[in-house]
Amino acid sequence: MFDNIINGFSSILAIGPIIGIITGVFIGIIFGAIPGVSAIMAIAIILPLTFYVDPIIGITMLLAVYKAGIYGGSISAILINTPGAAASFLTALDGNALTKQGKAGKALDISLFSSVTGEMIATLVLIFVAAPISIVSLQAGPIEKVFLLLFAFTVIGSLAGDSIPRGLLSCCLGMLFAMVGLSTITGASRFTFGVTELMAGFTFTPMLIGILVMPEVINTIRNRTAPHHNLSLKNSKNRGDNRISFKEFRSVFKTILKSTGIGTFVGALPGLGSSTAAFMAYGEAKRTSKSPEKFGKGSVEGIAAAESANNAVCGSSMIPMLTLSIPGDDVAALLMGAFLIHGLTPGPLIFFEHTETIYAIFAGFLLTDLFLLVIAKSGFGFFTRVASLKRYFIFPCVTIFAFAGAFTAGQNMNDVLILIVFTIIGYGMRLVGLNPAVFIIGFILTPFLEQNLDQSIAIVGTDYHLFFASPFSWVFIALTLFFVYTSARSKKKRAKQI
Amino acid sequence: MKYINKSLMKLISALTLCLLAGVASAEWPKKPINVIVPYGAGGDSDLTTRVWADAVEKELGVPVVVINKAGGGGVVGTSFVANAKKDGYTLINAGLGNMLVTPNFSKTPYNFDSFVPVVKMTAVPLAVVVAKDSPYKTFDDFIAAAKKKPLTQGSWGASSSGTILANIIADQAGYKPKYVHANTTAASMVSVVGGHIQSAVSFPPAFGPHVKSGRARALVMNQKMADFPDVPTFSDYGIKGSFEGWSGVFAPQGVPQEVVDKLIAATTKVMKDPKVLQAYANMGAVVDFRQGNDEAWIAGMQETSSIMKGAAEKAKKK
Amino acid sequence: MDRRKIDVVISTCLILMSLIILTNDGLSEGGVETDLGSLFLPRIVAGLIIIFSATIAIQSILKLKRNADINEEDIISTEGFMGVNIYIGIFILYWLAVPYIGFLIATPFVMFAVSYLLGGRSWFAMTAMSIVVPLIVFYGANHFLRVFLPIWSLA
Repeated sequence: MFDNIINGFSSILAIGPIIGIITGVFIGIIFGAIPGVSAIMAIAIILPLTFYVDPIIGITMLLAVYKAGIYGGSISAILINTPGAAASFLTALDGNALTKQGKAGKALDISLFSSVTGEMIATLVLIFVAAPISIVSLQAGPIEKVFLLLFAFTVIGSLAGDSIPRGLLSCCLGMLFAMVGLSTITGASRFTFGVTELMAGFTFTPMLIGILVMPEVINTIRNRTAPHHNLSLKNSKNRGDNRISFKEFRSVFKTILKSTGIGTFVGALPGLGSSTAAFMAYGEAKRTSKSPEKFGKGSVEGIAAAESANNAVCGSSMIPMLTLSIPGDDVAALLMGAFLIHGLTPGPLIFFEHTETIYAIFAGFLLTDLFLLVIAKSGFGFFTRVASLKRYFIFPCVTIFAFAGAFTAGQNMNDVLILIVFTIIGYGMRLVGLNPAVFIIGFILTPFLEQNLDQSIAIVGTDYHLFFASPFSWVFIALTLFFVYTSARSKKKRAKQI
Repeated sequence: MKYINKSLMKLISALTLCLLAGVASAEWPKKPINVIVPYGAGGDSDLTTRVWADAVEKELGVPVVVINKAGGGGVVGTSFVANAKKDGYTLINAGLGNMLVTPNFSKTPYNFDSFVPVVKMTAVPLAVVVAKDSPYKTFDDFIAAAKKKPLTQGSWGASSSGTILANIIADQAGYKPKYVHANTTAASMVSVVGGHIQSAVSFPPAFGPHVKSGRARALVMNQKMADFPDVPTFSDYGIKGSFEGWSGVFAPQGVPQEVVDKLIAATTKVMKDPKVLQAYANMGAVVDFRQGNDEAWIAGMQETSSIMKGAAEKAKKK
Repeated sequence: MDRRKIDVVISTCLILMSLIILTNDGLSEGGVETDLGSLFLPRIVAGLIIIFSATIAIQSILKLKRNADINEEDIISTEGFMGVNIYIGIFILYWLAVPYIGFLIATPFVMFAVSYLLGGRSWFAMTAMSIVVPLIVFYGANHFLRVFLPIWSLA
């Protein structure tokens, strides 16, 4: 095994693959950072180009785009509060709060370090223990996933903020919006009122930009009479505020490890995706944190949890794909297409039939992490300078990117209308105290829940005991109860303190 | 001023050309062509179309852009193309689901006649698949067991092509499966391999890797395939009908004939390229190249469509 | 603005909407039913919405009844809304105009207007930005994303 990896490194350390990785990292960071343009688009576009190069170059480049893209979303999230991807909007909560305190450097550092750590660990897991993990993940069928999803919903409790009914109402509204359109299960069109355009439901990208990015623009406009220096990016004079010290990193290292674990696990289960992982890790970190009140107001721990979890998914979604030919999410599905077209059929045999190529690709994974670290770190100065431009330069550009991003999703103007409508809804929700983050969670999780619930009911039929037949189900039921209990208790405790 | 006059003249002449129907497209293609894939990126239809687009692009000399307009089981993207301009710059990735099944089962603003068949690139034979440790060694075992007690069968949506075809098969063989609807055939293969459901209907791109590595077993298929030489076909069991998914490119009804001809010519060239053929073979599809003027192909599709119509009416009565 | 009054209005609307979802079968058309059915989950969610909306509404009504002093979190500041309305107006006009006059022509005006709205008065830099950025976005979308933003289509 070790000489395989060393061989892998020797074939990856050539001019072609390294140029591929560097290009991939650049493209990924840029695509990830611009709100509305996601890494998956970049991958879909580059995919056919890679048919003509060696798979080692082509596939490592695609993976570099994927990893850097997931990370890139956090840069714009931290600096101007406009998350580039769904997975990085928890980073926006805490990261932008730090930026407003003049600690942008700290936020950028911790997000990069925890992203890279999460990715590295997940990649090592992929290289060394992929096979056993994939067998465990196969045990999670539809019934088990229903319980896992119910567990994921409990995270809302810790994100909901002060008013629980308002948080839960936001979630329900998100769920309701998710069910508009043609049901993939029954083929019935729900709540479309005869409008064909609504059959696809609400396009996710424009909705996300409308709810999570545009409120920042609107806030700036409301405060437009305030003098510029009150709102501009402050840079604290204190050097310690602009970097992460080793001590700080060590203090959140446990959180990073735990979140990476959550991310790796969720990534290895097909179909849940990086946003779900980020939510779960953030909720768990907040629950066990010594200072949960700081979450959402500039917690280094919060950034570490969200970023390490969503990046760990990149590595571990390869596990079911490579060992069982089961793509974990849409990006993995595209990458699996790339493997197939290159003649590398994913499955356990790939490790024997294409040993050299596969280990070269693994080595490329690890190398990508290094390049990401170096390239992103050296870009911080530039990013910060861009973000400290006067606001009447930044926000017209954000407006245009939002417009173009919404259009890009489906190349039509209806998606721009969705953007406008959800900008208004999202801002309105904030005004009346509903929680947009929870709304998005409801929206993302509902299709998975409905799909798995329907399958479970078909499998169970009248043998209701099957619901509780597998140990997996029990574990998740126990976790759900435990989570609800402890969050309720900590809430009570905090209420007493006040 | 001179410049404005010149461009005005150009505009007027372009307009007159447009009015003379067909003449404007004499220069087709002169701008990027969009091919809408009505499903998400990374699926079989998407990959098949991307390989085609990439190859045809070089023949036509303009970008051929694949756009994913997923949602509503293919209805959204397909309706979009049905209502698009008939200028040959918007095409649709056609398949069994969005052309023949969904229009009969769901409320759609289009039907099979809203499109002109241009080419068909690949076909994928449907198969019934079980896990490797399943007690059913042959399709006969399976039928016998399914007649006694309904077995669970994975598919992708209650009104999807998978379930409809599976139902036709089950009707003829005389059993009634309990359908478990995942969102893709790849996802229902996960449930088979994980032992959560007893069988599934699926296509080679999804079940191929599992069968080749021995985690799953194909009991019966629509046709013999070189990759799976020992799997019997449905007709061996006396089940009549064609159970295959396919992928092609259609244009909205009303495009100039010249566009269709040029696309057919370009595709004919491309389908001889060993690289393209290899890419399709690697994906697990059977290359089944048909041109839009192939009478037998079109008749076959119309027959399937009427079978689907019958099945839909039967489902409604229930 | 008093959030408690808005709570009551919004909750009432949501409850009415949920009641329609619970009682009207016409909201899902076509398709083939499964064991779960198309309207199972929507109805559960509608039920939950009724519960939570009612909770919020009742709390607010009680506070209003008691004439309780309005506390900080129940005040919605409307300061600066004029600008927001103008911004949304610009965006809607932009959306209406782009399919006809194209991205490259509409965008510079929009960028300049938003920039002016935000208090920008450095005319040269703003003009330069309004012209250069759309060009970059258009070119980048065209060549790297293969996204073809709308162009002038008024013949």
